[in-house]
Amino acid sequence: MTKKIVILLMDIQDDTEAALSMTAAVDHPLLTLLEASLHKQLAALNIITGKLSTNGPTSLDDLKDEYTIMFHANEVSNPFFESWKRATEWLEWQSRGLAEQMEPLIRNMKKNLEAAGAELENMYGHEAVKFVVPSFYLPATTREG
Amino acid sequence: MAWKSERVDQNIYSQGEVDRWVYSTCNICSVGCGCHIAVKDEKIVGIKGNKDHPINRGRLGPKGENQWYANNAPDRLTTPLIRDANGTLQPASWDEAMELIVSKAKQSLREKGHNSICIYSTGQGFLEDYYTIAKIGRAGLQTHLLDANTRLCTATTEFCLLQSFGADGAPASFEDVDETETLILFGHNVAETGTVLFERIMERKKRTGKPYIMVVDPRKTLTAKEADLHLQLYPATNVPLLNGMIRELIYNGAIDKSFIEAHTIGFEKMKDSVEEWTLEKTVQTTGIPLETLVTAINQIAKTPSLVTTTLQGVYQSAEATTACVAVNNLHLLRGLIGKPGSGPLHMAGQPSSSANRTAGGVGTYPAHRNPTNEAHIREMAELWNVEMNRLPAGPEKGIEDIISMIEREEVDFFWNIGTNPMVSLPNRRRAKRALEKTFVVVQDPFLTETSSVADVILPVALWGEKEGTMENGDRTINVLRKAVEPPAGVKSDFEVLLDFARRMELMDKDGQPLIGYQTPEECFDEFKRISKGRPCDMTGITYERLEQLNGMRWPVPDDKSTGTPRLYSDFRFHTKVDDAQSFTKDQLTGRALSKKEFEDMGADGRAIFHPTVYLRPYEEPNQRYPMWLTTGRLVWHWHTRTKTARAPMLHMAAQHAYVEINTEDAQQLGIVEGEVVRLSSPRGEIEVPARIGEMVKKGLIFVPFHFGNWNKKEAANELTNDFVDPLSKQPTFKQSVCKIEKIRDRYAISQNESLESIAEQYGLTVQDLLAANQKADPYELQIGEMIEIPLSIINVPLQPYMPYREKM
Ligand code: SF4
Repeated sequence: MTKKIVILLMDIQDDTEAALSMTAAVDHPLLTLLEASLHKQLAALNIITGKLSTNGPTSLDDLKDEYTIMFHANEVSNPFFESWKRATEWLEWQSRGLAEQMEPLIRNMKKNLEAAGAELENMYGHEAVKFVVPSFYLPATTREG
Repeated sequence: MAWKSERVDQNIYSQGEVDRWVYSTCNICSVGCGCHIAVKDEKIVGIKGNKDHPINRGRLGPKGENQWYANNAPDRLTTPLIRDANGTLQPASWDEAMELIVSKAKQSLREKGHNSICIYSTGQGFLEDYYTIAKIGRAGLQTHLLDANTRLCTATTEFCLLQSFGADGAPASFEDVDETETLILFGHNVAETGTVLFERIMERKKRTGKPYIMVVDPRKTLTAKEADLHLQLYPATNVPLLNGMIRELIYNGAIDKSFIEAHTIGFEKMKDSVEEWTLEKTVQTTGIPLETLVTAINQIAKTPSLVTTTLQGVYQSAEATTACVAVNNLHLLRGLIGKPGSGPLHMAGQPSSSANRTAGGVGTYPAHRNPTNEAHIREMAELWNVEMNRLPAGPEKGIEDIISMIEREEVDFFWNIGTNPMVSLPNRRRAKRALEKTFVVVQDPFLTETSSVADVILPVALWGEKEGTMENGDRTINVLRKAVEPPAGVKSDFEVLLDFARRMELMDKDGQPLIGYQTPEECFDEFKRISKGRPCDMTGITYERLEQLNGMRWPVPDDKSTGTPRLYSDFRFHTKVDDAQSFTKDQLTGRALSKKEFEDMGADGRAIFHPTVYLRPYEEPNQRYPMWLTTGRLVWHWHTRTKTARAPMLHMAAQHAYVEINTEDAQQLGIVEGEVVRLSSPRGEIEVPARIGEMVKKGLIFVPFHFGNWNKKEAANELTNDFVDPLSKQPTFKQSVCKIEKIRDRYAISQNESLESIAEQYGLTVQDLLAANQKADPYELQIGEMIEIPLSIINVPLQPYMPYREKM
């Protein structure tokens, strides 16, 4: 299970780095916000993958804070991207191509984080991850009872 | 002190004496004026101000006086409607409508899970409705998608208070407005949005010369005209202005060092964030003359007391929460909070939007509980007697996030209660396309523009036809008694919600009905228990006491207390980890901080200075769209006019949308007064008459947002962008780009034709024709010359409403 999550997180790491390398060339306040949140996500990812690769399976408590930061940084980054994409359609035509290139990365990050959320829930149980993984990154129906 | 004397305003239309007067509260704006409803033959026939209510001492504004006409409007809905296979809304029974709603809700839960259901409510309902929505939504449906029209109006109030002080609730109240030496009305056009509060301010001003009034607004509003100092700044420059002021106060040593040391954290980081905002840079960015700026700073530096109110000019502008946090910083810096006549007073817009936040129907959990704090969710689970894993956790979503989720087909059920998003949401065409894709329930007394996307419509009671409480902009809880029965076939929102819970068989963990109460008062009693020990403690409130005392400001911790006029008078803030309503958000990106990050901040009961970094607006005028568009309110109407358009006097006073254009811009474009012009933005276009003058600065235009009929091209939200503030997720209605175009025919003057005959042919005056062609004299026009003919001219006279001038 830990292996699966490490693979997912490394994918997200790669996508985050790729997205960040694209934003540098354009100056727009929404990209400033997107960059700031992706940097935070990446910093948390680096710590998590570093610890998981060196120490192997850990208790959730060891990485709780980093996981929380990673998910919540991603949660704010998505609307920034969507807003910026709309802005490129309205006014910043020259950046439209860049938004289109970046979109698969942003979607992939979200998809992989949802998979990571489900994996963490499998590993540690719903109650344990409830305050770590935002509601929208957990599988749709898990709260019977 | 408030109001030297009473003055009972009333508006009754009745043959003979009324049968009874029923205790109530105005249901229009967040001032919360006390009133009595006139009843004759079991019909509402009028209203009068409550002379004993401290908020208004009998006074009412034009909207308040005229709100009751809607109750008797002939087009009230009196039966549910269901859209048939041909797309037509057909009358249905309550059973049919409710069963359809319940089956769709169950289907959505089954197929897409809990977060596929959204309840989007209002700021015009009652606390008991909101609390019931919170309980049904969170513990019953287990959805995290509870939002409301309050997102468009007061979300920023909540999030700026959470950031700085740890919990919601305006620190100062109207009593502080009565005492303060200096009042800053920041983006708050109180003369039009809260007329009675404005009158209260001006009554004291005329009597005593106090307070010194400073208005920050890019428009020369009715409020600005009465100010001692008007800071007419460029759009989207609230943060630069505040940063410039704060830097100067720090540099001049006009700060309360001992207060900062004892009661705050984060001063140094905040100081660094304003460092670049020299006076020169502030003047250049805001467009405020140096002398005016220095006068403002000197006044703030020397004033012994200060109240700053904020409203949509801040909340609906770029960097909304950061600007409001900067206002909080300003007060903390000077130690002007928790003292008589001092404190930020972040206002609300609607009459009970604050109640929705307090009750947890929107934003955080009921009674200021933090959705990211395990201890708070556990406590809620115990109070509601449900398993903790039923209750969704984490930061909330705003309506624009929800629109995106609907576009991605993640939301299958959208329950719209008491609001008209098809007029009030920004970029409304996008919102319409989204809502057309999902099942929409609309709960409203009337057919509104939102009916166009409804699958089911439920007819509900209006003010005066139901009982409950509201919370106004300064934490006052008021009660509203039921004056008459609603029309046959109509239910209250509260009854609909209880019926839904029963049909859904929502249970607690012992198999008992989740909603155990039957009446609004029983519901309020439950909420009181939920609020015990929280910042909004209402333990000492009863409906009876509310009526006896004419409202009470929370907290009211026991039955001896008569309420709390001012928060934080002990300088202890709600920032202890298990007290805080939020672990706060990153001030730049809005990311919800983890518990550990919040603990590491170490506020522990002290207020928090946050850095206030300036970011350019997300959209700025350019070659294609060279103008700024700002939208806003008129004194005559409320929101989308569902009620005010049904009051003859209000309707007659302002029947159309229009655009305010600066004289210089109008001259450059050759636009004449009243000429219908086309305004377009990347989102859409409208065609409205021009009102030319000095209300707006060059480069800026203003369109009131109240008008949204699908058959007319006048909805401001056809033009607005749908960007939101990162922290409060409130849309930036105040700053979109647009362009103005004339709509004209070209006409060649032929022989034997006079300017008079051409003007007559088009229903214009000669003066209009001359002005449209930028000619001073008819003789400047020659036979054969092509002239431009404005296709339509509509004069839009608007009477300013300033009662204090005549009646005081
Ligand atoms: S100021 Fe507001 S609450 Fe008072 S009468 Fe006017 S609309 Fe009603």
